[in-house]
Amino acid sequence: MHVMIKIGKYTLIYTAIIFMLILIILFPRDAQMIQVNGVMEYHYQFSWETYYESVSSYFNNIVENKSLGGTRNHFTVEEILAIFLPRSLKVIVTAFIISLFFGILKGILDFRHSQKKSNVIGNGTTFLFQAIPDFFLIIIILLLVISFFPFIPIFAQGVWYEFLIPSLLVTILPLMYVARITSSAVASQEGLQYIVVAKAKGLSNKMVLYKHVLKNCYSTIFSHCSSLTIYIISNLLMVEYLLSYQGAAFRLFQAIDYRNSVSVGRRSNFEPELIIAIAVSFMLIIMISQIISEVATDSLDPRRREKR
Amino acid sequence: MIKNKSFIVGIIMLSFLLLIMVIGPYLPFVEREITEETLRISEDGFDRAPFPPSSENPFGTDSKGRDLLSLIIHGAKDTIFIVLLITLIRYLVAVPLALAAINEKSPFYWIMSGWNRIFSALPPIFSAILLMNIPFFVFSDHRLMAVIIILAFIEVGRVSYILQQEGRGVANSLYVEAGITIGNTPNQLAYRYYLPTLLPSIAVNFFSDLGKVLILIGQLGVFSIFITQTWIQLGAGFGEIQNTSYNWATLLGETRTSIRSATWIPLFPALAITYTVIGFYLIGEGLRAHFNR
Repeated sequence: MHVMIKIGKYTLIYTAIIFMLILIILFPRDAQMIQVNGVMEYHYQFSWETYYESVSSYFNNIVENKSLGGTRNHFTVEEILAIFLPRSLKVIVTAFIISLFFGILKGILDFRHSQKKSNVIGNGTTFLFQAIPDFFLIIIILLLVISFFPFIPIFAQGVWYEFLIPSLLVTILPLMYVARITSSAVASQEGLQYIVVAKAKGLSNKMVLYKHVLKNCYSTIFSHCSSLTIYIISNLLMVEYLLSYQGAAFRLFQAIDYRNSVSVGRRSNFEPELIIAIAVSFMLIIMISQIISEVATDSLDPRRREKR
Repeated sequence: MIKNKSFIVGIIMLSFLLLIMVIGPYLPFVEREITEETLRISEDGFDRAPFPPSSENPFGTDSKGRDLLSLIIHGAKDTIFIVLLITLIRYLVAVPLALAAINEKSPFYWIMSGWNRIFSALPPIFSAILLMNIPFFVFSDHRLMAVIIILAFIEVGRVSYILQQEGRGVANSLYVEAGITIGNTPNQLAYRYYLPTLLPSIAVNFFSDLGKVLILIGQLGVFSIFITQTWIQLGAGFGEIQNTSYNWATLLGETRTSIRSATWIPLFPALAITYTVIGFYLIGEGLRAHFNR
């Protein structure tokens, strides 16, 4: 019951956000370059009528034709999504699982390491990775792979394992994020009475950590699930763009159609319907991760389990 | 005086950056004016830009033959200025909003949490791309200001939420109740009681936000979305979008095309950004450790 109310609340919030997103994306963008006496001018006129028209026709199309709209090469949005979204989903799911599992492990390691030495900022590597921009990390890794391990198929496309290398690249920073949350959550439990009691009973440090402390930390760790997913998707944008991995994020950039040249008469290939669809799919993934975190906390946190 | 390893290292890193910013353009190996040099004559014919790192160009050149080291040094001032301005505007809005929203019955609380929810539903880079692409801002005369405000406002909700939560934590403590009893108005309460409590965490978050903003504009740069841009007509009926400043993010614009052939072009601007971000983070972490003693 508790979970159902939460899911209902999230659905309501996300519907409102999706509506706002649609309003932003459907904002009229038909700016044009026109040529007046050989001199180019940037021409843009905003009118509420065109704005209203595009919004209402978008919803009409959904209701009447049961379609999310068309794209520049005569595919419907659904067909494009069916091609590109699974490729991104594979990366997101792999990255999510790896970063959560190994992130928690690394967090525990960091914590145990920090106990041995008095270290102010926790483990150095975890800290350092927090401050590294994703593009820098990818550039460095690409540079290393290209110059020292050219046999690694980093730009592989069209093979079954194509998603593995992007997944690993996407995982690194989110993994450090989870590690940081875990080690600080574990550290915050230090010196609490139940730990003292458990130790007094003669349990080993390892036993206390895994059986007692970690259980209390799950709710804190899993409450960051949606931030973790947002982090993963943000990294995904960069990885797909730089590796030209043909996933949804890559297609999104094509749909936004940002280019460095301007020419007279060329209309923008901005594909609002597709952008909405991809953005909403990403948002749904984030929402699902939030639900997963609710369910996981409910079943992992001993106190919450008791309440039911 | 803050005696803290990471704080001191961070301060040293940033001082070095400031030094480079001020005296860098006058160093002997840095070009006074950025010049383009697309062709070079060597012993065995012509070489075309980009040129790899050499003794003449320690960081190499970009595809227009501009010396990257000089570009980075000349661009430092613009970069730091933009980042500082974005973060300052963000905090000037977020701090008062957070203080006003501590009372969860006030309308400001709804504004703040709505703001936070809308922009935290998707990665900030995503909202930034969508908003910066609205035609009003694309070639506006005030693009720089518009973009700075957009980037500042995207994360106002998040910052405000963090601070509000912290303020909420002390709202029921004795000294705040005492403040209410002796007749402080809500404004006085915010200014005299909550603000001093929140100052340490404002300072900590400010520095980590400086890093976040720099990463964000770096990401935008990689996607070739420039903060300062204009278009120039190159011939009858076509032209090119060009950036009008040397800030580091714009130097990353060639990342995708050059990452396989001329890795040094994105590498060195990205390195400069990373160096600065680490500096900001170290200061932030040092302050956090200092205040949590």
